[in-house]
Amino acid sequence: MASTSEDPLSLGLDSLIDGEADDDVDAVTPADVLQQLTEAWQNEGAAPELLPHRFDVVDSVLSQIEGMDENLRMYGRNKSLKHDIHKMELDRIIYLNNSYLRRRLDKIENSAALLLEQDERRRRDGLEPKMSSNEQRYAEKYTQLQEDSFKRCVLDQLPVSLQKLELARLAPIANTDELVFAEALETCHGVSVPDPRDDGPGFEQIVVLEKESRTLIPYKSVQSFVYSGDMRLL
Amino acid sequence: MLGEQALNLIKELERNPDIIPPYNDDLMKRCIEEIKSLYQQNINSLAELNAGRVGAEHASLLQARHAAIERTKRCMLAYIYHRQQRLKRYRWDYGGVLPSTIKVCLCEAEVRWFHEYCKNLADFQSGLGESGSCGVDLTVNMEPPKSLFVQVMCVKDYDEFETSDGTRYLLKKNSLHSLPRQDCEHLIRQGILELV
Repeated sequence: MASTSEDPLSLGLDSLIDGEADDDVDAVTPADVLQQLTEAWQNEGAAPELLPHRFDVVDSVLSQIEGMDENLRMYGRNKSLKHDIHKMELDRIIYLNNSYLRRRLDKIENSAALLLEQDERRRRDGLEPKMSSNEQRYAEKYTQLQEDSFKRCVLDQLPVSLQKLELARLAPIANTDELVFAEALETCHGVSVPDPRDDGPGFEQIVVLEKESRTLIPYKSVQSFVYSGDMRLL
Repeated sequence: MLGEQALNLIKELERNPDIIPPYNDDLMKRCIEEIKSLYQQNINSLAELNAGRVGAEHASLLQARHAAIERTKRCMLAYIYHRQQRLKRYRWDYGGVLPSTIKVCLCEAEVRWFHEYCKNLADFQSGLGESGSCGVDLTVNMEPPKSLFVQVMCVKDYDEFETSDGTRYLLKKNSLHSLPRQDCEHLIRQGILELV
């Protein structure tokens, strides 16, 4: 905390855990991690579908929260303004992290069975699944519970041929035509958008989105760029 | 009238948007009876149709009955599903313990579902982080924090309350306190404290 006492205005994450950051061979600074979490949180909030998980970020944020909490506790007894401001900053980060996880859980609960099916397909195609293993366990259990209670309350009492129920077919499908605000972090080539002059299906225009430009665009068009991190949603 | 019971189930939920109304076992049973009787009628018709005793116009009757069956089934599932959603809301707002006032409104399967849901959520939370012991509680910090302490007024009498830094407060009705926001978030949502 030596640097903080010299510079009382630096209230960022670095000042809270700079002791650890020095030893870390990893080039990723805490501020970077927070930046990544903020981006993931924003994207998750704006995207109509579940995005590939960023639990690498969540995990490192969580371990840093722990470290910061400890640091604060050590200085905790003297109720200085600096302590309060740091605590506030920590609370904000916890909020960000919790809110990110909650947003994902909400989406997962809404169409758990469908997402499990999609992840299974992604795995078969050699792609990374969208849910983390923890989330996947949650989704599996959730689907099973839902099925159980449907069966107990309704289906078991019906004639056998009416007992079939496919939860994945009942789940709401994300509307990827929804318009979103997107900002290009890198220049993106080959973004295909529906041609406004023709509303027939299959008529598309290829456009280039310059770096730092912002557009209102169908989610479908920028999906792959959001996945790769070349664009972020606002 | 055909399908009326099923509609009543849905209406019941819509008339009480904020609470979990008592589980309507009677109506559910009547819906199931209706489905069974329609199903039986369909089987009979099908047999007669196959035997050639009735004309082909009876085939459309079969379809209409089947549509009625599907609709009733769907209404029943929607009833169960929406009750689940409300129970879920309850878990996030108040925590994992059901008071008896709510418990009497639930059927056995729903109580079971609630416990399992809470357990699943707890498992998820404890599985977070590399060490797996970060103590993440997703139900706090529902709103972006604006200040460390909040001014609250106690609406109901409540026991002694200990905050995370170890200070004890006696929460009596109409008393004013300045409490750490995180600690009293649950009490505010439960309606024991009120922001002033």
